[in-house]
Amino acid sequence: MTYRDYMDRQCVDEETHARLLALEGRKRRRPYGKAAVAAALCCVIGLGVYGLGAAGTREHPADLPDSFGIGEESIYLYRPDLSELPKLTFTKGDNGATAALDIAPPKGWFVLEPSMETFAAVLGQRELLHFEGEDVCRYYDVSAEVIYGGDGTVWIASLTGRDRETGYDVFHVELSPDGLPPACMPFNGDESCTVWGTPVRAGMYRLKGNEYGGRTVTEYVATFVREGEETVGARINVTMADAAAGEELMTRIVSQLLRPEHVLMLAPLAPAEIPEWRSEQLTEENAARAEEGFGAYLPTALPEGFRFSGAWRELGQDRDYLSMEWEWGEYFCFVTVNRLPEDPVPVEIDNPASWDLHLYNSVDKPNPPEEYWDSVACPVFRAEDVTPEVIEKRLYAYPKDKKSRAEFCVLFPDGVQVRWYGCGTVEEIWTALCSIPAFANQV
Amino acid sequence: MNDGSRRPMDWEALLFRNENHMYRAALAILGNREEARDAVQDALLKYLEKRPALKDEEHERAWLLRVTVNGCKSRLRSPWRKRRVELCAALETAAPEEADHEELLALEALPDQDRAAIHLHYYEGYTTAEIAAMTGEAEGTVRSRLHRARQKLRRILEGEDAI
Repeated sequence: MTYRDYMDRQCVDEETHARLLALEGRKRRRPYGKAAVAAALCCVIGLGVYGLGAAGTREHPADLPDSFGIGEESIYLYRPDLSELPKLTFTKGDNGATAALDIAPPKGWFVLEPSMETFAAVLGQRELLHFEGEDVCRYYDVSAEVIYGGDGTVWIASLTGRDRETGYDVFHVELSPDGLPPACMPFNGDESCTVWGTPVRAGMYRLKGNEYGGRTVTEYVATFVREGEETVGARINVTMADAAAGEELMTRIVSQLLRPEHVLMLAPLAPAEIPEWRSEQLTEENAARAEEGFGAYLPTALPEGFRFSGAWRELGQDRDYLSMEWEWGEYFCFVTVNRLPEDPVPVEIDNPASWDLHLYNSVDKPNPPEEYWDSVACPVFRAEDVTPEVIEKRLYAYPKDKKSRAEFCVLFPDGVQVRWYGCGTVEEIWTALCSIPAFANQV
Repeated sequence: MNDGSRRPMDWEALLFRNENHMYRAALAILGNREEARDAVQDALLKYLEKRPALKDEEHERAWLLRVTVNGCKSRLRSPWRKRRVELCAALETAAPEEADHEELLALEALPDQDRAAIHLHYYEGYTTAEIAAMTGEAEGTVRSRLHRARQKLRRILEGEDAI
């Protein structure tokens, strides 16, 4: 068989022919045209796992079919050549971070994971998420997460693409309303360029380390704030071993988010409901002890000399706890009662290697095995396993400390977990535990 | 035929004339049926957008193939693209003769740009000068590619016109 014979057998199938035939009959989307900036979100986009509301409807710039299945939109995707997209200029550096900040989500925060179809609506796309025609879901495991404040506004919406073969994240897009997304490692790129009329700061860094599997990778970072009917700030990271591929992916992402005829808005992410929440400092000990559901797990006897210094009540998505603190000079006792501990795994009391601090707690002793790092740091004991002998093996003191301290958790049969992190002798800590009504009832 | 006038274009006739040629070129370069279909669609969308003024069907074919080939090259530059060896799978059923099978597999192992030149010359019948114009390469480069291909793939290219 010759090459010609083989190729003569290769033909477009009927389904593809039908799709190609349909191309000419539609008003084609013109990526460089003067189409309206706003896009209409159709009812199909309004449907989602979280029952999104109809806020933020716009005229969609593309004249697409009224409905089609997942993946079918790809036949209408126009994928411009890289040469047709604005070129980014990057600051070159060795390290992307210039400072580290502590950031905390707003009060009442909660997290939702929108579907890809819902996130595509943020870009004004129907169901299929793509960046300038590049269907990233085809090549990566893509996931989305939105952190909201207690009032239901988006704090940070993020999209992450992970390489299926290496397991490393390749791209990470963060979006926030009204300004750049908060970051614990802010990027201060010096170079800036203008993409579709919006200033963009961009940088590139060559990195190598264990976190990249020993590979040398190039990380691209870009930030901008797009003004418009909605002001949306973005921070984008792309990390790839192939620098050219990383630059192209970054270029497509930035162009998609900034091109005027493309949509970028966070309204489609509005949550259907907001979880009940409380985030409150309690200044009166009696008020803290009166919090419903917590009194039975709070100690009534603290080591001598300690006085109440504050309490915090936190209620929200997957969190429901009360923390109390007592102080005596520089010494402290923290007790946290957690009604929704995250997958607590109690240690086996017969396996002291997993919780006995004295096996490791000096320079002449080995470090705990990696599998026991967390449990040695703060073990979770079943309530019935806690004895004065166990407390003694959790006790430690820093040089010049007048008081020893211990840290551990007690898990009750009903799933409530009490964390003790405080100072005292074995007897004082044991007395404090025994003053907890729920603990006393099972001893 | 779009001759630059405002007469309606017979889209269906254009597809019948060109879609298989475009698909075969894309398949030869990309080695993946799904991507080849996408590349054909991209090229046709560009045609609809640009509506180039073309003299005749021969020019139309050349324009569409050039856009298809360049679109494939653009796709190949995206390393996150996962190349699936569907071409080999297709070859297993299409080439029961062992010798031909081996050479077809060897074809698939050639660089993408070599396969583009091979296809445009041995299947579409373009000269090296025409291929150079379509791909943006120097004519000498195209000749080298074809010469290497003939050395390796003598059996399956046998009987085709020499350069």
